[in-house]
Amino acid sequence: MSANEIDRLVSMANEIAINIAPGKTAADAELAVMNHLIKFWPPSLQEKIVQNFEQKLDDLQPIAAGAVRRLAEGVE
Amino acid sequence: MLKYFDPQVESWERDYGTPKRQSDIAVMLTIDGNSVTVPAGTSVLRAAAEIGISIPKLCASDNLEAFGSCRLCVVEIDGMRGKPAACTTPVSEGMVVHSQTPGVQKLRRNVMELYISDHPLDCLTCPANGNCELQDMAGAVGLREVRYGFAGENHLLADQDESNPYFSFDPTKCIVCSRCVRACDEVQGTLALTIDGRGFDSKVAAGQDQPFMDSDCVSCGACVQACPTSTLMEKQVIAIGQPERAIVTTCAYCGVGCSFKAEMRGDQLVRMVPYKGGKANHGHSCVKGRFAFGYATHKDRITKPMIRDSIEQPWREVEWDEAIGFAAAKFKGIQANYGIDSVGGITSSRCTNEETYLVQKMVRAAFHTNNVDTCARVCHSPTGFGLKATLGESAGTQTFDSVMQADVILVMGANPTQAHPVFASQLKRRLREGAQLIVADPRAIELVKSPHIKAAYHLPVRPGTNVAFINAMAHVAVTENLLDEAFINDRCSADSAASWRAFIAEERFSPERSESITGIAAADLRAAARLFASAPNAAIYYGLGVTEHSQGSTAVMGIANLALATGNLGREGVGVNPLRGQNNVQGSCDMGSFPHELPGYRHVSDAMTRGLFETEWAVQLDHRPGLRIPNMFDAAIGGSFKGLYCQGEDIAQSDPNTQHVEAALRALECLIVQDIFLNETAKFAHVFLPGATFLEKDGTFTNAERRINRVRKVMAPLAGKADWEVTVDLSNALGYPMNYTHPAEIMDEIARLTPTFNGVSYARLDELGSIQWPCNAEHPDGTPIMHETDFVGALGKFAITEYIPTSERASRKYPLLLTTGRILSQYNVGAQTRRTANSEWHAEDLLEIHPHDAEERGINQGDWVGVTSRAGQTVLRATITEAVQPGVIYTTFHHPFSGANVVTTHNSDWATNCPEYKVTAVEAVKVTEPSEWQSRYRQFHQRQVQLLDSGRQIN
Repeated sequence: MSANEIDRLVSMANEIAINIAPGKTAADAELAVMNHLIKFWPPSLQEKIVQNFEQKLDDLQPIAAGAVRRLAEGVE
Repeated sequence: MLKYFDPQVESWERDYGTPKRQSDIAVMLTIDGNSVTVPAGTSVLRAAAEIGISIPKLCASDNLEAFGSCRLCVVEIDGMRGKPAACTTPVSEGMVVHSQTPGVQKLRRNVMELYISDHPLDCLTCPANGNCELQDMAGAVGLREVRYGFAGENHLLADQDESNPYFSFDPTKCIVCSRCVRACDEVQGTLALTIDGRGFDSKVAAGQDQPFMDSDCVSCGACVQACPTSTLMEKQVIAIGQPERAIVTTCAYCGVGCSFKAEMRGDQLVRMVPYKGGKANHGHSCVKGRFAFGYATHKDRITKPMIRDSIEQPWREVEWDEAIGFAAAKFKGIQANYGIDSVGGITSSRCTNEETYLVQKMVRAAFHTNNVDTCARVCHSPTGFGLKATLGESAGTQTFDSVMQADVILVMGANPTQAHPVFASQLKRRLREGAQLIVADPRAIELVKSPHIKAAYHLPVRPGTNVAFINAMAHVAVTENLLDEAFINDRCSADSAASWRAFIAEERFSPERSESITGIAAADLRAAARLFASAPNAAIYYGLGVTEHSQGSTAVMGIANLALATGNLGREGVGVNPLRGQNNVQGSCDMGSFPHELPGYRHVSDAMTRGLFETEWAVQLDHRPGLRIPNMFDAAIGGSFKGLYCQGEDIAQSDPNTQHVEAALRALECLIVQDIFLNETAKFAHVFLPGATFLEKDGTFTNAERRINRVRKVMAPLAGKADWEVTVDLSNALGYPMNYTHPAEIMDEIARLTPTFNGVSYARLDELGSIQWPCNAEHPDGTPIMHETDFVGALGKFAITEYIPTSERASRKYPLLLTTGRILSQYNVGAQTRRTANSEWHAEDLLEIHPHDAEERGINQGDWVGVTSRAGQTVLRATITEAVQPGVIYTTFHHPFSGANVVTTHNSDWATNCPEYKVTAVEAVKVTEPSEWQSRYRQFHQRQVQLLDSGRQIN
């Protein structure tokens, strides 16, 4: 997986987060973003963003970061 | 010859003379001693026709208002003076009509005698011979002589107009009945024809007495169909002769889904005539469906399977078995080497429901992966997402006919006269009746102002700001108390309504605050919102100008919010109406083409649904979503995705960021393309499986109003197999058995597995003509209007639609915004229409640029202009027009060499990854030569054509 591709996933996750978050508490938004990733992202992409989570933490928008963390932990 | 006629059944083959009337008042009258009851307002001519009495007529037709010019339908009516025309005389209670008296007989003969005295007597060599109303009427009135002779003044030397590629205009045969003129006015709504001159000099003229091709004529064919003689005649009929039989089928262009009679002589298609019984088109057509079918027998059709190991090798023509075996072996090998998920498939929105269903079934059951997607990914996937989230179902809510009861119509990001022309004609008819129109579009589309049509408001929304616009509309409705409170209370979730109302009422969404974002004058937006929200019936029609954005899904939800808030759902005349691009894009979505959904929009993680399919298919299914098209491209470049089966789709031309797509296709070890032509994608392929056109197979298409229409085979597949048969063969070769013998069996399986399709079968489709899903025990005849009582068993949900500007914005380096669209004569990637005479209307894609931007850049009309974005560069010829705003440029993508998608980027909708085709920041500069990509494209194209030709010669 190229650096480019990972950046692309990060920006996709960020866009999901900023579009889903309005009107929700941070916890609800993180959950909604995580569910969106589970529902629509192929497992390979879910795994890639989880694998690169620590490294890309600074690039991830806070809600997106929270969602990916939940995804990584399998916590709902 | 006398024809059997059952007056109980409305026959679509019969012309009743004048349009059907709707009225609660029934009128009884007597015609020739037979009593008949018809709705008030019906003409005597129609009343007679309804009991099987054919009063002679020439200028009347039941798709046109009565005109009363030919005087052939004269009758005698007790108590009425003279001999009134039956077409212009409405029925009245107790009326006693005599259709055949010595007086009217004599009068009709005299009228015919005058017509024939100025008409060529070349019936035997006339193309209308055998299908000429004038000839029929001469017979019907018993014309035996022409006492005036033929030597008097006449029109027999008038010049023919052969300018239109599809029909000829021979004024020597014209009887000036005005049917063509009225068809252009009333049916098509273009008003391109007129009667020029007066009295004996009266003649039919196109435009300002110009050749048809130079006039405003859009070649819809309504005039040709209306003509009772051979004055306006299809060139195909002139060349071949009259057809001998007709088969009703469905057009394979655009989401309107018009029904046509394919009129045949042997296995040769003579002409396509729009079918009056078609519930989407009611006997109307456009230039594509009516005339542009020549591609089906074009010399470029590939009719032999072909294979090769690399795209640098010549193609090798092989038998079906070898090609299928080769493809199956390649895919098995790839999966053995790189894993199960290293392959995938793309279903076609141009193929039938049955074929689409089979491809996704093969991917899931034979490839054992959910890596299946469809072109809706790049067009209406946000509609699926947005409408499901708010209204509970991923589809439009109405019939097309519903527009006839709309009072205010909002057209947003759609260009119906170009992309959905037959629906546009109906919409224009409603506008001429007085409905008001609001157009929200960056461009001044034809609907904004055209003959007899003027939008109340054109709101020139800046590309990329749809959500800000739709929010401002809703803001006005909420803050000015224009909501339908009863609808919100009864039909919507209270929590979602409360939070949405608080959200949208915030001052930041006001038209005044939005003006600097959307570019729409606040006063106009406020007035338009009041007009919309106050209308008894307000309907929203939208297209790809809404969906193909980074916030496409949000904009769809914003549209649904507005409809919910103003109570414009669940009845005729209202609704949320996505105008679908391709003929079966609704169907391909319904059929489970998305990687996360099984047929009927049910998520793959839903164990109960998956269980149903696992039992029926006898295979274990993956519960996790597969790769979407853009993911497939990225994975191909990344090296984990190696094999793709692509049916009836040209991703190399239609998908954004062409160079990225090309790199992905080059990275594949095996690309299987199934198509009718060696399209752009096929140039990267290793296996070519020849496809069949819609004329060569049975099946169904589902149009934008959820209407399932039958596609009927009218000729044998040129390559020997329909597309579904090829999928069956490939699946069997992969080791997953499929044993269908007819597409009807596939539909039966779909019906068994999909609740919304439970009641659908070929027998029911033949019985009802067409069915709008859901069709099941609750709705045995289908569901024309959705959400009449609830939203799929639930309450409507308002969505919070925050406006998030796209990252694609104008900058110093890229100061212009490029937006893309379609044109009437060409269809999508143009693979079909470019191989017809339609290219006479649109031989190349042009770049529309505002005079101000052109002047700043020294660009003149017709100059070559280099358009550069961060993704790439292409060169197009400029056309200078005020249809686009300053700062916005526009082009179409129908020709591969144009490279419109070389420029578009990988930006996409946040929820669905639908590409943001409608907003690309670019710079435009005058240039003298094609772009680097275009030069490379030309070389590659020539090389691939050589490889095709040399491979064929070897065989």
